[in-house]
Amino acid sequence: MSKSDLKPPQLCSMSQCDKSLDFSPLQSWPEGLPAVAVNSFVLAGFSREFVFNHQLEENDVEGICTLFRSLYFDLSFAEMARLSQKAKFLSWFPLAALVQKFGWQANDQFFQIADRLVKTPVGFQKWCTEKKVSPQDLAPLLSADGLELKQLFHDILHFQLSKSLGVKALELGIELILQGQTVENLTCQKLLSFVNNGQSPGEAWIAALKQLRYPETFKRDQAQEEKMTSLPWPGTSHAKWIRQGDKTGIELKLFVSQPSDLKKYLQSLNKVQDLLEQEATGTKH
Amino acid sequence: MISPEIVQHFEKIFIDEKSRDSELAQRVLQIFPAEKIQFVLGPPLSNKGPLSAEQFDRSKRLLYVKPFEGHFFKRCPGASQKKVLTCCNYYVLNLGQQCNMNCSYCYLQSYLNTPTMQMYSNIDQALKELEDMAETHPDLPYRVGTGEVIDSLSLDEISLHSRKLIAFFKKFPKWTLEFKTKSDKVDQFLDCEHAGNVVVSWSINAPEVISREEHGTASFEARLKAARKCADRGFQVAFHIDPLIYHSGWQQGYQSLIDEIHARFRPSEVHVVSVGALRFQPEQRHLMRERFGMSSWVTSAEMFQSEGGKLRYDQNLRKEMFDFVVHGLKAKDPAWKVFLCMETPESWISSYEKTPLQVPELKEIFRPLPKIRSESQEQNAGQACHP
Repeated sequence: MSKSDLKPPQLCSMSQCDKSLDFSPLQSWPEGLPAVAVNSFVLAGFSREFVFNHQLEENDVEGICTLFRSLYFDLSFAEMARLSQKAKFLSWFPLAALVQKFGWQANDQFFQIADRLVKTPVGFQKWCTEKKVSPQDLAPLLSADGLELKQLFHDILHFQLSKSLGVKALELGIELILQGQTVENLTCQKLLSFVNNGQSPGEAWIAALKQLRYPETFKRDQAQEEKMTSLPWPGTSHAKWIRQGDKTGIELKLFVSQPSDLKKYLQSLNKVQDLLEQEATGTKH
Repeated sequence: MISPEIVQHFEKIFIDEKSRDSELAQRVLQIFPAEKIQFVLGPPLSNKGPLSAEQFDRSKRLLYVKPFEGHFFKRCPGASQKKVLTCCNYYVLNLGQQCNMNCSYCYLQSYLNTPTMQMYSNIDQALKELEDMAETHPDLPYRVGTGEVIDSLSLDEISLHSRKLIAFFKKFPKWTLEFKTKSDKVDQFLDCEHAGNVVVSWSINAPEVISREEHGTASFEARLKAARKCADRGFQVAFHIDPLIYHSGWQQGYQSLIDEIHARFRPSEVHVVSVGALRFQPEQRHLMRERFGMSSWVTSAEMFQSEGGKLRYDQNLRKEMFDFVVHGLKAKDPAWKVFLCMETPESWISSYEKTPLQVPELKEIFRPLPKIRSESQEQNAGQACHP
């Protein structure tokens, strides 16, 4: 704790203080407690009438950071982004040190992503806070300068997407728009026809975006799926075409209740293998 | 004669006081105008975590000459992923980091976090490390490359490191020195006497890929001409057709690459042709997108997470591309020595129907070798040999 921190704060009226650092923190300030300021700049309790104003030397980085940290147990990236937007005009405010105090790396990339996030709709910023979205998750925004993304943000909120799906939708959406798609073509209404049984609308939307982003793979996978699922897999088995990362293949479920079942399955599987080998030999020749 | 574009390329050159008396610093002082040079005590710029796109771009134009602290000599990163990659026993000698060229897919985008390009002034220490190892294993066929985190030759006109290395390797004929480049800068060492164990290799690609994705590099034609010069001086040459990049008409592009290599070189002149497909760390995609947009064949590629965590093309597409190039070269002449770089055992088996140790002409390259001293030390300290 720095020496200047030992001085007791002065109680003053809010009208004597500067509220320009109001970054709309989510944490509600305890009722009846005056706001807290440093050198007349309010840090917490922006709606209060009275303020405990701490006088700290401007170069007392540790003292200011410790005071701020004591006011906020946790800050989301969206809140820090809003704070950095407000504080960057105050040369004395130890923004980089504060960012580090909350566990982030205070580098150019962090501040650039923060700068993009504060330009997004408030609803999206709230979603980012709720889902604990990290700066790296929002890196696609760095490529989105000048793009109209309101509809994309709207759909992410509309489907109440999880963090992983929302972040995926954001990246796919931005990439597709950069590739020439219009944002209208990416909306849920346009892509409703892609909805598959068993998928939530949000999952179906992501699947549809993926089809647009990976069209050649989708085409190849479809052809391969058609071919592979038409093979004579054992009668009561369930053969499903799946992608696992960079690989695709058949997932086969077999139910065996007695040894003779197994024998039948193996005979059928041998037939499938023969067919595939014949085809491979044919292709080579 | 130093290329004027190299002198123009750098905005600023920082020379660490610790390197002031080095040969490299003296060369830099001769080559660059005084107003571009500044002596510094320690790193001139600092950064925490990944670089932003602007910082990464700028780092290519700020050169920092300094001594390297640590082990120069390391095993290729492929060796640390033995479970998922088939590794070819390649060792790397890093004489700097960053690159003055600008390929859209460059893996340095996920690797570097220093805001300057670095060239190390203490090559004598690197040679000392090599000497220590050479005394332990003079007869084992170690392959040592200098082009992992910096192009081996694009700035060699400045450093002339190639000349010292060639002279050093002359004493150890069983060892192989490999330069790896996308430049055409070879004139500075062509007169060096060598023991026939120096491979000058080019990372090469289809001409359209070079002009579209490998910015600031030597053209397809210039690279092949430089390779021809080296072969004519008795140096072995090698080609790394890496990364194969899928695009509309890729077969024609890679066929013309195969045709040109075959027309200009005999298989006996070419140490090896390695083939790899586009791959990168997932976190790198953001910086690539920001720096090259989505019209690049790399950023717009359809990539999927592979077993080792990197993003790669669909396995069947990779197989199709590998088959095309491997069989295309072999069809021209079975004597071409072709291998897959940074690939999984499954890809090997699907393209060759065997693993590299079962391919007679590649067996020697992939034969496991004893660990070098720095590897054992790092392993004892519980560290991986490469990030």
